[in-house]
Amino acid sequence: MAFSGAREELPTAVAPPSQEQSVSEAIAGLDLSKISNVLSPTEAFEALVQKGEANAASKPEKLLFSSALGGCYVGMGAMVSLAVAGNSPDLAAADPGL
Amino acid sequence: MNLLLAQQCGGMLYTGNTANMMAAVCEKRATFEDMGRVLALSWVGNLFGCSLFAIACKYAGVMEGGAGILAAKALVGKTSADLGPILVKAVFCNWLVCLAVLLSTQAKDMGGKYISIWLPVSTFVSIGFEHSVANMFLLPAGLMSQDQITFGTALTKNLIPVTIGNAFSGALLVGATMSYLFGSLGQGEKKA
Repeated sequence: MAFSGAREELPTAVAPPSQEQSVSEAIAGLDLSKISNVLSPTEAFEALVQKGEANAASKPEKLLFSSALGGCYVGMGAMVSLAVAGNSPDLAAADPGL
Repeated sequence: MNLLLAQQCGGMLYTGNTANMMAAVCEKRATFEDMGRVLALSWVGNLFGCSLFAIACKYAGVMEGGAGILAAKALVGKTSADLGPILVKAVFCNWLVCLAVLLSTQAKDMGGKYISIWLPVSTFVSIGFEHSVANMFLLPAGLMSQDQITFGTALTKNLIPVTIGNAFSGALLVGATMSYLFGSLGQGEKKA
C-alpha cells in the first residue's frame, strides 16, 4: 500500500507497534525527556549556575543598573499590595487571614 | 508578579543572586570575591531602585489614604520584632523565593513561569515572611508616611538582619543544597 509506505518515513518518537510488540511495550521505550515541556532539576540547576557565572562576568555599572530596575519592579508589586490591602480596612479588620 | 518582571525583563534581585552566585561558586565557575561583589552591587542597586520608586509613588500621590496608613503600620511591625524571629522569617522567605526562581527556570513557557513564581511568592507574602528587597520599598514607604521611626532604626532593626537571613537561605538552602543534589558538591570530587 503506497500510503503506509509514506508513513514509514515520518520521524516518530516511538516506533509504531509491530505485530509482535504490544502498545505498552512501545510506550515503555519512550524517552520522556524528548516530549516533556519542563527542564529536569539538573538542567535547571545548570541554568542557575550559568546565571551566576554571567553575573560574575558582567560589568559593575550594568549590575547596578539592572538591580535598580529590579528594585523598581519589586516596588510595583509591593505598591499593589499596599494599595489593595491598605484601602480595604474593614476587610482586614473582619478577616485578618486575608 | 514582580519577580516575573524581574526574571524576564532584565531586572536583577539581591535575593535571587544569593542562590545563583552560590551555585556558581559551588561549581567552581565563580569565586567568593565575585559572589561578594555581585551581592553588594545588587543590594545597593535594589535599595536605590526601591527607594526611588517609593519616593515617586509618594510624589505621585498613590500613597495617600489607606496605602500610607498600612505602610506606616507595616514599618512599626517590622521594626519592633526581636532579632531571632526576624532572622528566621528572612531565612524562610528567601528559601521560597529561590525555589521559585529555580522552578521558573524549569518551565519553558510564560504560563508555566508565571505559576511557578506566583505560588511560592504568594505563599511567603501571605505568611508574612521578610523579603529584603520588598522591605527596601515598604520601609521607605512607611518612613515617608509617619515621623516617629528613623531610617537608622529601620536599617538596623529590620533591613540588615533580613539581608543576612536571606543570604543564608539563598546561598545554603538553595544554592549549595542544589549543588549537592544535582551538581558537583554531591559527587565527592574536588571538595577540599
